[in-house]
Amino acid sequence: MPAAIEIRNLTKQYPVPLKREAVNAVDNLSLTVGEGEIFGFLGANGAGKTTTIKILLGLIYPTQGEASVLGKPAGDIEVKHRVAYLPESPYFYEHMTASEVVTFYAQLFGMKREEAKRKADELVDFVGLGGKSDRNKRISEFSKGMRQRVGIAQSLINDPQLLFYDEPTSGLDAIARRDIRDLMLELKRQGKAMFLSSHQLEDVEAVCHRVSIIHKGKLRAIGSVDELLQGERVEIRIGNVSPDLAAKLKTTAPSAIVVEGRTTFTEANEPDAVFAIMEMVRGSGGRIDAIVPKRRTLEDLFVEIVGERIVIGDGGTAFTASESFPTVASTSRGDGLSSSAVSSDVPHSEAFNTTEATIVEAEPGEDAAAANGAATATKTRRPGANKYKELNGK
Amino acid sequence: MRFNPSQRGSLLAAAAFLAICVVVLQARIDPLRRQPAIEPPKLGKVGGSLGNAGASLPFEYTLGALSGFRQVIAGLLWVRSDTFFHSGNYDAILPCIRLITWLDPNWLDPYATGAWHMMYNFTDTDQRSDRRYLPAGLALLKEGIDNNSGQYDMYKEMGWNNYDKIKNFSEAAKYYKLGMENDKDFDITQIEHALAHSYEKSGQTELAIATWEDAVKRHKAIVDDPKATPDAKARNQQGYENSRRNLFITRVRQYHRKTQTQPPVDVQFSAQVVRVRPKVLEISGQWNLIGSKAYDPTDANKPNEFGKGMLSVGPVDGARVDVRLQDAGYQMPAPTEFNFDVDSDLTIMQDALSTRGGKTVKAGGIYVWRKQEGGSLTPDQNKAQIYAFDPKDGANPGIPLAKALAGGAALSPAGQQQLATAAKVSFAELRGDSAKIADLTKQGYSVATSDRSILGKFKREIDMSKDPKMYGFKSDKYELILSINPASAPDFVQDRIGLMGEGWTDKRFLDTKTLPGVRLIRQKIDLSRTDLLGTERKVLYGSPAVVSTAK
Amino acid sequence: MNVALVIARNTISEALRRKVLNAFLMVGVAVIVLTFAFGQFQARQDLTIVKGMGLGIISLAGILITIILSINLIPNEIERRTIYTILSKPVRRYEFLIGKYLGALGTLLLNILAMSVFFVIAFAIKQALAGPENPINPLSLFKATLMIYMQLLLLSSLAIFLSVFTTPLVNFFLSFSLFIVGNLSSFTQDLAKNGANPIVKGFFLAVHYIVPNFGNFQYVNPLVNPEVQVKSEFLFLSQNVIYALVYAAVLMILAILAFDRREV
Repeated sequence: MPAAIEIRNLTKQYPVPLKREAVNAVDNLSLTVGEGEIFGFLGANGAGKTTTIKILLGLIYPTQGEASVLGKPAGDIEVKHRVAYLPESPYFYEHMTASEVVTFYAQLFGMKREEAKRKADELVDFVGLGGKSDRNKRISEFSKGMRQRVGIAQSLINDPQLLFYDEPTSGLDAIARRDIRDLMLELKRQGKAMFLSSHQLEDVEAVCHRVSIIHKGKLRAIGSVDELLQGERVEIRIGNVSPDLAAKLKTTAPSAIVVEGRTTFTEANEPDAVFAIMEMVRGSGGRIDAIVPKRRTLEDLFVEIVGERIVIGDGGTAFTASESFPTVASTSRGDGLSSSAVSSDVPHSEAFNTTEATIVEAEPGEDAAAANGAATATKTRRPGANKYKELNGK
Repeated sequence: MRFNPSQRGSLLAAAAFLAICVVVLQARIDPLRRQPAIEPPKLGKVGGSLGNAGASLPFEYTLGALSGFRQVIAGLLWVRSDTFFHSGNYDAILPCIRLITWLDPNWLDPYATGAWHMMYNFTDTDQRSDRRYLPAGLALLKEGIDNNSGQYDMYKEMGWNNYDKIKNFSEAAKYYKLGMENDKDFDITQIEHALAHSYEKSGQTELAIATWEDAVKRHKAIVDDPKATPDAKARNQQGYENSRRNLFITRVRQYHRKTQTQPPVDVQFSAQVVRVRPKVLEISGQWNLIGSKAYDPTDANKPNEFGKGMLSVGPVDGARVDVRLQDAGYQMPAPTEFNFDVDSDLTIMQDALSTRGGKTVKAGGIYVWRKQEGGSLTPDQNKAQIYAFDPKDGANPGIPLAKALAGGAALSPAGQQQLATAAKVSFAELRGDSAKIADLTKQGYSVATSDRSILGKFKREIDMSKDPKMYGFKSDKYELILSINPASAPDFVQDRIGLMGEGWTDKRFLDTKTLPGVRLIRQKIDLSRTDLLGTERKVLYGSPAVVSTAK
Repeated sequence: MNVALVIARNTISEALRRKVLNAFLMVGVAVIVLTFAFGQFQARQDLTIVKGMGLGIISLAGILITIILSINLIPNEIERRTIYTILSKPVRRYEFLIGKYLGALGTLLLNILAMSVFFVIAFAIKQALAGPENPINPLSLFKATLMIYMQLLLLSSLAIFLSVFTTPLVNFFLSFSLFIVGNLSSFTQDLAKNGANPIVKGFFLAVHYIVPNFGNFQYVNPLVNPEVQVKSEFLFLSQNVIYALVYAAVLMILAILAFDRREV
């Protein structure tokens, strides 16, 4: 059985105006997506996700390497009968109704007008836009979530084997996001393969069989969700924190969150680090309230791999530059599902559970001081200035 | 999926082949476009003739002109120039006309109207045309002809302006003829009739007659054409009748003038030019203007009967003395490129002075003696060639009719004829009707006891001080020309003096050199700038009056 | 090719809703109405002005509609990313491009036809009222509007070709400039013939034959001035139609080749 997608050493360079060297939007990328697999393709904005999808659809052409979709070269007209694409924030002809738009796309598959119309109505119902009030609305009156539903409807016209969904939930409110996620789960149940590009990590975690992380055009990690997220860590809740203890904690574990000077949460996944913190608390008159084991999130992984904090606001994400990256070992398995793991020579020390931009961050000066302290993962993880820009709400 | 190299190659080859087809097609279209109807010849020439208008040419006009909206811009300009005309802003019209005829060289009205403005509408305060514009007007018409050589319209305009304004009848004939030759659908009345008149006025009577004959035939053919529209038939019926009448009148005149213009009349021309104030001249003079008083025309239905021609001859009103003051030696340049910038240093003034008041009576003849304020002569008196003398003309040449018939003076046979014609009864009957005699006497009827003649007079004060723009007087030397052209005299004058003046003479002022073949009465007077600008009243020229032939 | 027709139909329905284009159409019709308000001239002059202005306005409105429509057809699709969904369907790029072009032609046809029919009817009424000596058949005005349409057909293909690799703003000026240069062909031909030196001659010869000769389609003059007559009218009209179609084909092939390489 051929793979749904096969990418070999794919590189896409964009020339930079007035400069001699080009930027690699996709850099020597190789991966395989099996049939019926929901494949999460994670990366920050500009990581190369959309570029990869466009190459796979033949909208742009690779500089080097090969890509095949459903066994044919990318962009093959025959393949397009069996795939579908939902671009990020899709845009449709504003003057049409949902049904008209989908009818138009259906006709592009060579359907007769009547047949196309029937199919369109069916799909519009399926995505939940068949209600009386929505039926006669023009796209220009649609909310973002409704447009996304139209996008999904148009992607299902040809009952595709393989779907390319690019950021299907970005910029949506919580309810719309859940609905779209439910739709994707429905498609998953139907056994469709999906190439899901997103930075909405929860969605990916919920929907995908397998996940890959791409950064600056390079593949950083790939594997099943479970594989990638395995590993233990604990959260230590501390009470009765004196200012002195707070300072110490901050130096040792910059991720420590000090709330109102009394309770501190901090995390560690190395037994030695946990003990070190416990010792520190005890020595400073603090109180251990609880030690809670925690599963890693995809965000944790993401931050580890990409090496930067991620701040998610209204669709804005920012990273700081980082020079050292973990290496990725990837092995392919016969069943089409590949298993890989992040090489564990680079430990991770900090993570955050919140998507709110309320993370405490050390100043570079303090950071440097921390580098002289205990040999924690933090030190090696953040060489030099590790400052993030917060684009929250901008 | 991109095209593979061989597909690209095929497409490129197809494009190249089609591109060659495009070049071939263009080469075939080019000559078709070179038709006056599509791209008039002057269109390509954005000459320097734009004058000052070029400098202030609004950008949108240029763009419009260049991008294929010529007719739109021309139309807009035409509407605009029409408002200029209605507001009296004539100066603004010419740049518009210049642009319009350049933008849409096939649009005929702007040429005709533009030329009309230049030939007629630029005047001084006394309605004398600014003749400095005449060459420009003719040049504009010439351009119209160049751009529309296949249609009669512009030839017609050129012909008419030469005929009516310039009075160059042979030039007029030339253009009317070209109009006929170049446009087989010429308007017979507008072109061929005018051509016949032009031939006649230029002394080419035979050609005039042949032209009338041709016009008669053409009209008749259309009237008889079953396919002609009722409208065309009606128009040509009218044209047919007119041309037939004109044909016979011309033949009658040709027949009679040979004899009836002889012997030549001595017109005894004299004139005086007085400077009244600076730039104000009073021009006066007198001459013996003789014309036909009664004429027996032909019956058009009897082509070979020419009637008797002139029945009576005598002094008439109706010929004008042309006065022209201009820079010494000025000659109107031949029309070249249309340029409406006239030479503002140039001074030309032309006017025409009407001649009035010529009278005559022979001893034994009848005249009316009365003060001129009340009433005028009746047609019968005119027909009988009875002139009215007034006390201010000088001494009474005779005695009242009743007194004469009572034995005071004898009536000559001509006098008896005059009386009978005016009274509409025979002389014998009248003698027996004392009441009628008393009535006629009361009207002033008198019998001359001696010959008496009074020459026709002309006089006008020409004020050039009110139009300094038109009359700049920048030159040092001027010439004032007084002239009478027999060719432009009315028909009833020509009946006696002939088309080319063969029926008149003048001991001092006959000029046969200025216009070959034409016997002009002409006097050129040299004047200096000081003569014209001096303040004192001064007689600048005076030719003594010819001593009256009256005894 | 059915796909191209689907895209064409969609393009038309979208274009007919574009306010900018409809505004030009409305202004065109309004100005034609205004033209008929000129009444102070003699019948012949009046009709001359009405004809010249009317056809000119149809042409001007047509040019603006063509350029604004054509320069945006492809870039709009890319900018709005609608092209992604379309090209990810089984639509070949050339089908997309041809569909867009056919859509532009359909839109222009509807616009020009609307203005022409309106103008011809209005003119027929005006002529009937004025009762000139030599009335023309109002339907003959369609000859000029056919030429205007062929000119726009060519202009549209030029603008679409340029739109494959220029931004709309650049394309606007480029298309307009080429339109003007192409209208000056009688000058370029003269310059090619009477140029000062071989280089100048060669340059203008190339301009004359390579730049689309928009001046070819000037057929307003013989209609505005009915006194002047065109010899071989059929040849003139038919050759211009062929010229427009062939040249448009060349431009569309080049556009297809360029668009095939373009990354969207």
